[in-house]
Amino acid sequence: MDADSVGEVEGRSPFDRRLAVLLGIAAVVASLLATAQVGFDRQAGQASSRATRLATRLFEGLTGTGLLTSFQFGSLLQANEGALASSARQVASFDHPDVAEVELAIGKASETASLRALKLAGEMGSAPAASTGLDPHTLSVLTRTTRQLQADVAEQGALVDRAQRFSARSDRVVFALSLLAISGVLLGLAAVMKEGQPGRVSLWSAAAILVLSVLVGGSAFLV
Amino acid sequence: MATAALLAALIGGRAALLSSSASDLWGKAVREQVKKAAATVEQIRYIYVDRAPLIFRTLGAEIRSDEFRSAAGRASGLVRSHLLVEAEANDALRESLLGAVEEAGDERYRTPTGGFDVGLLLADSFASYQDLLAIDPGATQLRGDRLSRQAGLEVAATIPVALAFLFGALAHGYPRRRRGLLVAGTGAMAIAVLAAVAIEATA
Repeated sequence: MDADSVGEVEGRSPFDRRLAVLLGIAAVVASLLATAQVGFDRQAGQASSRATRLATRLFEGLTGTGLLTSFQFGSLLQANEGALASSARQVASFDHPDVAEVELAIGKASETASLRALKLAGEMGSAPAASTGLDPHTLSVLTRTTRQLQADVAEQGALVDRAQRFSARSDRVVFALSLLAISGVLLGLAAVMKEGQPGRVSLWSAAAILVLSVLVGGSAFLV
Repeated sequence: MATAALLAALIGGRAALLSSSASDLWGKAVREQVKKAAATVEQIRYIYVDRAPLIFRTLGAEIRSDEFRSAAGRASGLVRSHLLVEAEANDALRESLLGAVEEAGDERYRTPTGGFDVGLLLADSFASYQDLLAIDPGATQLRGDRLSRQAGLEVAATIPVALAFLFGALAHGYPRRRRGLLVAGTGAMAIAVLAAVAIEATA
């Protein structure tokens, strides 16, 4: 006795049994697709959020270290200018013997002062130490090295790519769920129309779209 | 089948709420990161652009005054007078600059080598922004991650519910196997309920 005749013996037509089986399968496919969609959406959202935060941290690091470096160069330049001017004053004093003694003394004192200023510029322009009590976040902003910034750039790019990949997967699963919804509507239509040509057309169309939904959902893992 | 649909709706609804909360927390983490970064950069700019250059000029004048006075001590006559004039001119410059940057005269920031601790000045300037220091975008992100993972598990718990629906549909199509299918469906629903409860309990 084949399955169809068993169904008839049991009081259910093959049409009813196919409809029941398709409804059940549609429910299972729906739960699987929903689980996949939530998972992909989670991965995309998580990566997107981390990428945006990392971009912010990157700009913060670039700006912070840039401001520190700018001060460092500015103060070193200023101290160097003083040292050069005092050396030039001492050299020039030899051509003016009437003021040479005074200018030489001023030049020497100025040169010593410039060397001390250079040391001060180096000290003030170096990144703060942890012993200053500066909070760890600001400390990390000011002490980021070029290598660390480059690593952040690479990680940020990878996170953006990951967010885009999982977002594409999520979109694909949403499309599969939309197809599944159409399949569900056609199954409902078949249930209303009962047996007969319109009912059978609805049922087989629903089955075909259900298969398509599974294929589209499965293809999301290949994106 | 109706019970399975109701259970799926309940678990799905809970998962949707969790997922929404997770998205909110991720958005909040980004906003917090931007807020903290803006405050940090502005504070660094204030110290290294507005204060430190003036402090450096003030201390530079102090150093020059010190060196000219020291040289004057070893000189005499006109040379000594010229060196003292230079020292006094730098004293005047220092005094004038100190009016704009009082920190330059604060002994607390002076280092043992006579330098200036800009890091300590930056730390002090941040001390009045404790609320900004307390912001922790990383912690907010992790809370979002946890809720999102929980939402994913809750949605996965609807798979046994869907199986229960399938068994219910099959029981409808195959009445002779109804008892076995109903038992299987009930078992699947029990697994779904237990899974949902376990996910909530361990969250």
